[in-house]
Amino acid sequence: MPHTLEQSRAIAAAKLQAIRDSYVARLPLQLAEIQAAWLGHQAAPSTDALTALHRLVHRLAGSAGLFGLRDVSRKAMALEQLIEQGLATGHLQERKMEQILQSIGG
Amino acid sequence: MNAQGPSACQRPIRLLIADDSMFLRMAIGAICELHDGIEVVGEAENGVEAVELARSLQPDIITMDLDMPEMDGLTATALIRCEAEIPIIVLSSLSERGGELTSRALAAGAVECICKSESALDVDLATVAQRMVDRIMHWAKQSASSAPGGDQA
Repeated sequence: MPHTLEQSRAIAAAKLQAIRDSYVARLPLQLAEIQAAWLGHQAAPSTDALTALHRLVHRLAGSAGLFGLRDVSRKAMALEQLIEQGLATGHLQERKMEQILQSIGG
Repeated sequence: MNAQGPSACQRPIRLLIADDSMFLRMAIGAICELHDGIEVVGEAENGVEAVELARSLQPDIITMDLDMPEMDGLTATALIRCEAEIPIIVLSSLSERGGELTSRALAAGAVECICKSESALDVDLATVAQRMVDRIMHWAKQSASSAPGGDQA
């Protein structure tokens, strides 16, 4: 028998909650990947390394907000903008980036 | 959702999801699976896979993230639209670069952009996913009615 609209909504909410829980559980790994990419760029600065870091931060900014982690998303967006400015101008505001990175993980 | 599904004579809309975030693919898929009118036939985690799966699966509609590894969604959109009239709904972001890419995605042949980051701070995932389902249904219907021999209602 097909679900009613209310039943379907309840099932959808439960499924999304389970996916959100998995996302939150994996967040430390995601942050560790970003930290590693940042350290990699600091050790050997390059456009490729910065672009790779941007991709990771962009993904975090987009997904964290959707999963209800608004503070993480907001900080990741700020970091993303700094990276984009760095890619456009060749000048990175490293101190600001460090501060944001530390506060996202904190 | 199921209560809004197709009648027995209609086949489901075949959807390909292209997004490098496993969790977003899962979320989009979970919502769509509950809708009798939509069948998720494939998932791509980068642009190259999206192009290959678009060729092999011939989906009715594609949701496409823009910022993906290997090949970005912009390039994948252009390549797919060169080969087939498959409607592509782009998921974009709010950043300045994202805004620019959104415009370019529309120029490349995407039919619509849904802004992920506009929603990121203001709207929950269920709302965004439901909006996507609504737009998938809309564009699939548009595509079917404009196809040769399609429903010209």
